[in-house]
Amino acid sequence: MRMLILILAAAAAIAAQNETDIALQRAIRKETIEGDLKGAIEEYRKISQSTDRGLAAKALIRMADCYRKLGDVEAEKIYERVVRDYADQKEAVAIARARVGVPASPGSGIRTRRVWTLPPMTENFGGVSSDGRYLPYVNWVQSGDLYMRDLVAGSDRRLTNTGTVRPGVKKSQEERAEEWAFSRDGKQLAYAWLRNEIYELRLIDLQGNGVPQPRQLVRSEDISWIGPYDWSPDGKTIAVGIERKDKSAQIGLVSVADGSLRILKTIVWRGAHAMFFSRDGQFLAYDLPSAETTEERDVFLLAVDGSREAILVKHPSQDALLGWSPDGSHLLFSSDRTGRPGLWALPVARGKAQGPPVLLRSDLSADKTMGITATGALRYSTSEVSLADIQSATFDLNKGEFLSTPIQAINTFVGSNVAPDWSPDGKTMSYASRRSSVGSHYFVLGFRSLESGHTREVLPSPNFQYLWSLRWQPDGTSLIASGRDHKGRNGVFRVNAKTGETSIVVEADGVNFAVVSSDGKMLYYSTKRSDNEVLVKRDLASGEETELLRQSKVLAINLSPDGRYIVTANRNALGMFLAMQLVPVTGGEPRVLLDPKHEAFGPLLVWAPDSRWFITRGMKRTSDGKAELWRVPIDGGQPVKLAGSVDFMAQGTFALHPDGRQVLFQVKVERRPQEVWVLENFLPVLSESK
Amino acid sequence: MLLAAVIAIPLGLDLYLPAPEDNPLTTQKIELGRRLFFDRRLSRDQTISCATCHDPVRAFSDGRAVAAGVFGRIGRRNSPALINRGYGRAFFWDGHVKTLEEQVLQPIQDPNEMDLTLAEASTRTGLSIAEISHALASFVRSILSGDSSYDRFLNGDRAALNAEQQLGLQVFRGKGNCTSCHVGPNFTDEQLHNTGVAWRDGKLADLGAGKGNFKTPTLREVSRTAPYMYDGSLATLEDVIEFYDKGGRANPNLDSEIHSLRLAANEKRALAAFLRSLTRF
Repeated sequence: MRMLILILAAAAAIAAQNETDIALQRAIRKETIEGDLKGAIEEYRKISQSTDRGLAAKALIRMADCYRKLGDVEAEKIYERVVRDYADQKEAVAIARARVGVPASPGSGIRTRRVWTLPPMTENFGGVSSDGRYLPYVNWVQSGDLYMRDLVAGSDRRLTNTGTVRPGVKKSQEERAEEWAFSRDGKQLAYAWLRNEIYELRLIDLQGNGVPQPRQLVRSEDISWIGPYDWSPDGKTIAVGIERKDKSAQIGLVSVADGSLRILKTIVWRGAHAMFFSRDGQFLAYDLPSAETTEERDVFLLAVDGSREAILVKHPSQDALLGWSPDGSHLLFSSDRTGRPGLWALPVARGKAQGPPVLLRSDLSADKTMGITATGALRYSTSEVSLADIQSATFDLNKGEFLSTPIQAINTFVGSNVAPDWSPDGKTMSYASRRSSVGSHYFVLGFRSLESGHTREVLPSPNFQYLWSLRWQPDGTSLIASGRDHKGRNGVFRVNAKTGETSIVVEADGVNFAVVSSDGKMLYYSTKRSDNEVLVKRDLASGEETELLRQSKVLAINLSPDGRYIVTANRNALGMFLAMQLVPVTGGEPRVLLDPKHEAFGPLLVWAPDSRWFITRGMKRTSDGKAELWRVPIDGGQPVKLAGSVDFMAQGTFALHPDGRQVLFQVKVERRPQEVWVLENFLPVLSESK
Repeated sequence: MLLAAVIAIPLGLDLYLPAPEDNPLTTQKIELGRRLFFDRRLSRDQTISCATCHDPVRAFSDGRAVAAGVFGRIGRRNSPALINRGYGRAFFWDGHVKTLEEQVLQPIQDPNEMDLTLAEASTRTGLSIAEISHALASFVRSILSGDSSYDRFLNGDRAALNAEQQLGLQVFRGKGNCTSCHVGPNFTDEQLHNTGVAWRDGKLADLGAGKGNFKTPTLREVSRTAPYMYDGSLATLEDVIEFYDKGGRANPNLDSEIHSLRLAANEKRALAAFLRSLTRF
């Protein structure tokens, strides 16, 4: 009998445990899938009453996370409570500490400061000198040449003078600089140089004045990109990343003496975000996505003689290499395992980890490491980002004016949401959301149900490096995207709306727009061919293609609802509006609807349902900071200015709901400049933690 | 130990040749593995060695459509060429094995191949099972093919490929879409794909790894490893090119990368010529 009671008690306990687990899963779903943060908080609050302290601590952390997303200071109190009352729950305490910014070791005195904000039209592609004083940058105003900033003196030095990036120069004739790496003594700089559509590795001596004479180290027609990452301590070898024309990527070692290249390892296409030689020069540390289909990186260590490799940091989180501590005892990396990116240190000796990693700093808003200086300061940069959001409104097509004030349609990851569209049945709003962390960026596709208000997120697989357009296919099961995937392929892709599975429809360069006919049989896309942009019609069943138009630059393409015409907006090589043309999809001469003598117009915004006219926008800002709306008939009549206007920062095309009234559109909100930061005095924390 | 002291990595292949920490490459193990590879005692009737189906003369394949085993038994799949398998991440046509150490023991135990228990193999050779596994895996790791005309071409010798082979390389990377699966120095993504080969009479003749998926084989030495595909059903490289030109064989799970190529006759010839340049042995 006693045994039976024990069994029953155990069964009841298991059932209770299962119930609590299920409740936790339900709450997580409410938080992450349904986006109902307040509802999730109530669920977590109930679970936090559990006698299972592990579960309770977990629920408290998630509850605090929800408060934090809501901007509620209650979050801090709950994190502190976890630190104070749940000391036995080490993982939860570590996360709570990280969230509230409690340093791993009290009194550490870690400091961050902004060193420099890059001027407009300049870009950072690499690291600083080991003394932290010099930072090269690519100057797009000066033809894509390489300059070097003296961060102490505040002066600039030109390092190259053969760049050709300027209006009117064809892409195939462009010369410009990209990634670079300083030798350890700061006397030499290796950098990538694009010439005649081939990247080469060059070397310059920084001693002396004036523009140094470069020496070509590597140039191969089979290599589509090569970039230096780090110099070996003895100055004899440069670690490089390589992309081959067969869409494979590699890690290589280049001899400084003769430019010979040894391939160490073939890797996944996205390649390493950072590579650094160990202090003794025997190993090369780097980070890579753990698989083709995941965004999460791990950190590896490879012997430079090719004899062995070790995974130093393997964790289901985003782990990106930052560098080595100056004494070579620790490998520094960022990881978001606590929920946001932090600075971690891993003790390493003889090519192997010597213990668990230590959290040095709980938040690190970096996009790319620029290396650890000789004094142990971490230099890193943030990215220049063009931010955009999605707005929705009711729109009167005939009058050409908004019937409601446009409102922000997506309230999560604000500033990162683009490419809105409606599903063919009008029940779902889709969009792409750009996500990023140290050394990685990718896209999540969002599908918001208009019926339930719930948003479902799907990760494209393979994901996208760039995503230019995203439109539903007529069958409502998949979307057509244009961009570049994480396998390095440019072109048009089909993305399964349910699973995110992505397959390439056609591989082509410079595809900015793609749209499928309403019967699903024809694909129309713009692509770059021999320095021209071409509008192509492709039969999806047979693969047969027809060129419909060849122009210097296609700004946008829009298929009429009756499927008979495409309207293109074109500009010339100098970026000036050239024409808006009506292109019959069955072939034949395109007809110019608007040419440069008209007031400057932007891309078509929306077609009339009967395909007899469309609405476009002016490109001049009105006195109230908006853009005029114009109706353009396709029968050759004059454009008519409409009563309404649109946010001047609106980009691309309206997505019109099947009800003919609701529109979605993308609005550029601001531009964040690229900044260089330094994180100092974190090494003492490391010493204290030993 | 320096890898270079044990084995020479040919031009075109990665310097880093993966090996598990508990089985580093040594010349002794490679040599022992070589002896075991040719040792017929590892089969029930002592008529079959690893080399029977993986004949060095045929780039470590056997020239048969499907493998032949002890007592005249017939297997169901083509013997894959054991070329550059040290770089592999999945083994057998269905990719169900993840390490060479595990892979080399399976044919010994397969009733249709060598039909021996591991205990029997151990007794017959006087070696432990781990020693057999480590030695055979080490020998397989030492089977490397690189330094082909293609590798020399990539390394700057622009005369290493003739004009037709260069056109073939263009087709391979472009219109042929071959690199969507046959990528990198070893010409394989080590992934599973359904090309429709197994689709016969409206059903799958072999599920492979499921849904008719089979692992992408290397193309190194491909001109010497006929017949082709998991079942050896295509006799020549030209047959394979025709198969893919037509878009594989349509079936419900056909890989999205497989579609009709519309190659011209000269492009097909060039592609075959390029594939023949991937030979070193």
